Amino acid sequence: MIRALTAFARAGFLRLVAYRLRYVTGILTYTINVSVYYFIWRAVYAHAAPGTELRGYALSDLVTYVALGWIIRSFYFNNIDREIAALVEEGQVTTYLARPTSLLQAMTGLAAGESLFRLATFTGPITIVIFLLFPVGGPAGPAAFAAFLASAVLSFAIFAYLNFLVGMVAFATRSIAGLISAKHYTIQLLSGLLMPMAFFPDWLRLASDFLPFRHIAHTPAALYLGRAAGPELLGALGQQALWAAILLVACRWTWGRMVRRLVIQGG
Amino acid sequence: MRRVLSLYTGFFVQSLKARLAYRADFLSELFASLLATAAGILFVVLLFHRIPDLGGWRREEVLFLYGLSLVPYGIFNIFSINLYEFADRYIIEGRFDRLLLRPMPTLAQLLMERSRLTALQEVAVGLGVALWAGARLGLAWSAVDLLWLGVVAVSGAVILLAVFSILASLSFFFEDRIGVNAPVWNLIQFGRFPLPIFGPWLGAVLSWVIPFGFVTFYPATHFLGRSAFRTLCYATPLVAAAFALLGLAVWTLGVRGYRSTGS
Amino acid sequence: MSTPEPALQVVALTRTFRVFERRRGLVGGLRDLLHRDYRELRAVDAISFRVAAGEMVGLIGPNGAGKSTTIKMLTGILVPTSGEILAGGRVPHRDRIAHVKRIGAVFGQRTQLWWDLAVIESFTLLGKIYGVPAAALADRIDRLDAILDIGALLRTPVRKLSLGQRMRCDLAASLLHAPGLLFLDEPTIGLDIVAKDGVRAFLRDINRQFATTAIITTHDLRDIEELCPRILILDRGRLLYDGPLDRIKAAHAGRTRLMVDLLAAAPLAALQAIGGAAVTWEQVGPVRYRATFDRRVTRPAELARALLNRFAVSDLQIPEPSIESVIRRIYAEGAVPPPEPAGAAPPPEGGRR
Repeated sequence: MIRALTAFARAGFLRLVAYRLRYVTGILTYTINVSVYYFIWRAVYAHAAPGTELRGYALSDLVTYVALGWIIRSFYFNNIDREIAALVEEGQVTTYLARPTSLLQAMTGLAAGESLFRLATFTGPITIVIFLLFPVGGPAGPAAFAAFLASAVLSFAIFAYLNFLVGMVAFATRSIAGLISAKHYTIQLLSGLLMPMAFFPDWLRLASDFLPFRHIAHTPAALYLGRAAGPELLGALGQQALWAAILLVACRWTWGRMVRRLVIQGG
Repeated sequence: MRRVLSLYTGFFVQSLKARLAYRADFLSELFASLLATAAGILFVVLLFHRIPDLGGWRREEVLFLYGLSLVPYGIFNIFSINLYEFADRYIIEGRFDRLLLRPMPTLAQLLMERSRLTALQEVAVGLGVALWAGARLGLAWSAVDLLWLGVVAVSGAVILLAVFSILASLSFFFEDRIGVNAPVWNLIQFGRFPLPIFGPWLGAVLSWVIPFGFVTFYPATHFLGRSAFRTLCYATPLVAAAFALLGLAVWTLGVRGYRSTGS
Repeated sequence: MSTPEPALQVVALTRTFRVFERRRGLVGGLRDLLHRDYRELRAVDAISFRVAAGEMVGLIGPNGAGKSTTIKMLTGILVPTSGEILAGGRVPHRDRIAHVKRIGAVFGQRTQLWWDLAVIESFTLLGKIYGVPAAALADRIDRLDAILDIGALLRTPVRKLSLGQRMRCDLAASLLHAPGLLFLDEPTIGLDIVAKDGVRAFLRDINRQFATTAIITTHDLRDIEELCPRILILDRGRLLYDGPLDRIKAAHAGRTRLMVDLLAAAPLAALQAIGGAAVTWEQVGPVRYRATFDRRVTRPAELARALLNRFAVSDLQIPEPSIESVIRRIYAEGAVPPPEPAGAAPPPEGGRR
């Protein structure tokens, strides 16, 4: 396991060396995305007195919220859906039927290794650059910070499982570009990456309470800001974990059905 | 010129046919493209749900800008795919040699060879949003306004094409390619909002370095009657001409470099 | 020089590349991040030759010999480091658009047709690109159809063609604008025997009907045998040989080989009785034997007949020497026949580095 990880880190590092420009511009891309929303929120508060709160957020809270949202995105992001679609198109997916690791394990394992690697090489530098450029606040306290870290890991799980489920659709239809895009923009809006749930119309906020998406960006950022403490904090993490578990079960069930179908069809 | 035009029509009709041959793929791509447009507009609508204005700009003004910005962006996107994927498709996979083997300017061939028809959706939706927001703002459209709209749509698309041609040219010089496209592509977002909200530094970069401010914001102030930008408002065609020349020069230099280094 | 107006004239053509030397391992990778080392590689080294109008010339050599670099310079894609090329009175790299208008190029591994379009649609677009009037294009397609038999394929999307069909269409595409000079890079690669024969026949026909000058690079010696009376052999950027194929073959006829598999092992002495002293026999497997002989002295057919008469033979073959092995032998034994004075260009002034 450790050896697999070091081998992966080594390969990742060598790839990073080979694509050094791509690496620097990756950091730049995240910085640009944060700055778009930083300036938009700054303009929202432009004519308000300092310290004014809108929907419970001061400008400094919002800047921190947006920055943290993008920072953890650089960690949890993966392309499992596209990778599965590519495997299906190339007809390579059947090789996973014969292997001891299921496609779910292989895909999420690989994505986890990649995320760990990116944590050090990508998220780290992005965090430094963003903290230097924008007035991002610190965590509300040690408990809030610890909860934020745990929550970011759960964000990874939810994001990865959602991607896996979208990837499964590739077995049914070759044209999943539209679905992948739909997932992308749904997550972008309903995860709270661009704005906290508090700014949503009531009906949309209510709907998002019953969906897993808000646990990808909103929950970790809100925990960082100390929006939940004590039992509430545990409750938030618990909800997130519950969604991760539900999605995991859904992934396993879907893959199981897919395996049975593939075996019956003879691969 | 007439030959190029007839050639382009030829390519366009052919790629239309080729795309429609895989109907499911085409519909899926169209759906994806529509969603991206809708998500952007939805963000603006949601943003204004709880806030009164954006640094002194009203909801309809921002929506007008946003919609208008999609018109040159959509025209640009008809051609953009080959520029964006130039390094991978043409340099790494070696298709560029084939362009050099044909008796036509390489950049013209590149822009023609693949069209993304779904981008027309952006033009249509953007125009719809701009007209709707314009009606709410009580804008009256004179013949001159309509002419200006056409000029802005084309000039704005030229600016975007020129910037990404320059970036594509970089792949002639650097081993490590596609990377620069993504951050600059993301910079386009800034051009969809009122430029002053981004502060003086970023505003200057978006006006004088990567002139995305001239794609929509400055020329749009003509319609919105914001006289603070009177001087820069009508510079868009000039900026487009200057960047088109610059883009061609850098491209020519890049091709020369490619042919003499053989990389 | 006897030919007054050569289709192609090349003098002391040289091309060097800068090659990035990747360091090994993690530490090396880290150092590459900061500073890169380059090495100079001489891909084409002062080669000179001329090609007469209507000639078909084979350009051969092992991988990395400089064949494709040479082709890239001759087609005007790549600018030479030094030396001169003159094609139809033009310098290809300086006058690219005018040059490519009168050349055709086929790269066996990469089609010039658009993948998703029907063949005829690709042809129409190419006609527009090369500025061929519609009537002339239709006439040309008819004439090419008569040779290449592509009429039935015109409505098919390129992606649905077999490799052999695609190659025929690619050949037609490269000839739509009636080029005087044709470059063929591995025109038979990946094709089966029947398709290979077809392509060779088409190329002969095209050469005969349109008097097209052709330069062919290939790994397949049969392409050369059937198409090119004259070959250029490149190795490590240098022109090793310029002359008829026959003389190269003659020089190696003394090393012709025959492999035979018998149903049951036989003593070597029994085989040595066949062909007499002119044939050397070796046992190379449990039931496999190899004869080495001079085909000018011993006819391969007679040898085979004698074997079949006296032994129970399960398999018998006379392997064609590969270009690699011929060149390796030329290189190792220094057995290069002297270049033919009429075929080669004079050495450049000042001689070689």
